[in-house]
Amino acid sequence: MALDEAGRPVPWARVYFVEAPVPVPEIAALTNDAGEVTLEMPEPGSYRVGLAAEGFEADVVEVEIGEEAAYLSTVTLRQAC
Amino acid sequence: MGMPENTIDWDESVTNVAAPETAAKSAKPQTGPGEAESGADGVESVSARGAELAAAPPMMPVGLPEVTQLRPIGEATYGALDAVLETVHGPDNRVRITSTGVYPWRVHASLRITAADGSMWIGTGWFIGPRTLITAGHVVYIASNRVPARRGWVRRVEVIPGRNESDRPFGSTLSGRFYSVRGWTENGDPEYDYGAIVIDEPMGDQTGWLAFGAFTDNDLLASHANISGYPGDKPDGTQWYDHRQIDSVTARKVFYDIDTFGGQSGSAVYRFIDSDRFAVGIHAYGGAVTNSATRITARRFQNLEAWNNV
Repeated sequence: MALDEAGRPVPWARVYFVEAPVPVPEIAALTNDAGEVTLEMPEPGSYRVGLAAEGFEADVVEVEIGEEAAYLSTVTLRQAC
Repeated sequence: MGMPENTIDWDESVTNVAAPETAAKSAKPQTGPGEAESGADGVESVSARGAELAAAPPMMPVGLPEVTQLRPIGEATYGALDAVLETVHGPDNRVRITSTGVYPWRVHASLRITAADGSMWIGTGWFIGPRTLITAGHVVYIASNRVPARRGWVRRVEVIPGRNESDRPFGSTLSGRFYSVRGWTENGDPEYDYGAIVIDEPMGDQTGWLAFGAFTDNDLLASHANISGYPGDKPDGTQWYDHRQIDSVTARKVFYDIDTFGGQSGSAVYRFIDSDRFAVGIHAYGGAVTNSATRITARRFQNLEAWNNV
């Protein structure tokens, strides 16, 4: 979930793999109106996931996935200067 | 040793609509009306007018950022990680293309994809004819089972040829007509990750299109590969280009150290033959040292030709 510094959802943020333990499809997800997105991790392991949205500084989330693929993270995007 | 019985053709074409009635090269590419930019020595001659280096501070922050709030589900945990695989290798060599209204840049389309569960994605496609674009299989068919409601043909794709941020020089169109192959839709095999989007409006007559071909290993390994597409780490809807010598090939894939990012899935990987641009693969995956495309083989050439004539 992508939120701004006021806690409001950031829709249409682009979410994509930056680093992964295996080759990953180079398609990017978009957050919905609630700032939510589900990005599937193809294998258990360590990932870095990038987020970018107009008007905000890009961010990167580090994630480690076990056998359970589901993972929920909230990231607050900072307004761009 | 004889051929095994019941050999399956994993390159057999499949589609979400009624079946179409019906070392090679397609007809020469078409530039379409108006201005066309040229290449030289196997790469695009990116002009000072039409492109800018990625001189602005990169959108990706330097160093490890703070993660604010985490709510793990299941066994997921957070921890410091070693870098494993990146899709931009070393310095980012991508060049932004702003002359997207001219050939060849206008053959590349920004795609906005709505999957079966309503989730939205971005990718890239490229024209091979008036109404057919080629893209990655995973752009038109979600093969993963991890989100069951998402699996299957996507609902629709918005095709925006030659997009340049908010500028849509050729407008846009929606498509619900897609093609891929059994190796992707049934097995989710990355070696079969390619597909097509067919649109009603013949926008390719305005944009022109790339040629495509199946080439020998030696031809490919001697070639410079070019990629232009719409990465998600750059400002929304901007087209970015990079090129590099092809690194290696297998029977069904092409590998290269060309900088790419999520959103460029489906981009053409193309080479020059004299002044003509021929796609040799469909960009699909980011990897540790090299990124990769689904290679156009003789069998796949047949599929692309068929999809171009549906």
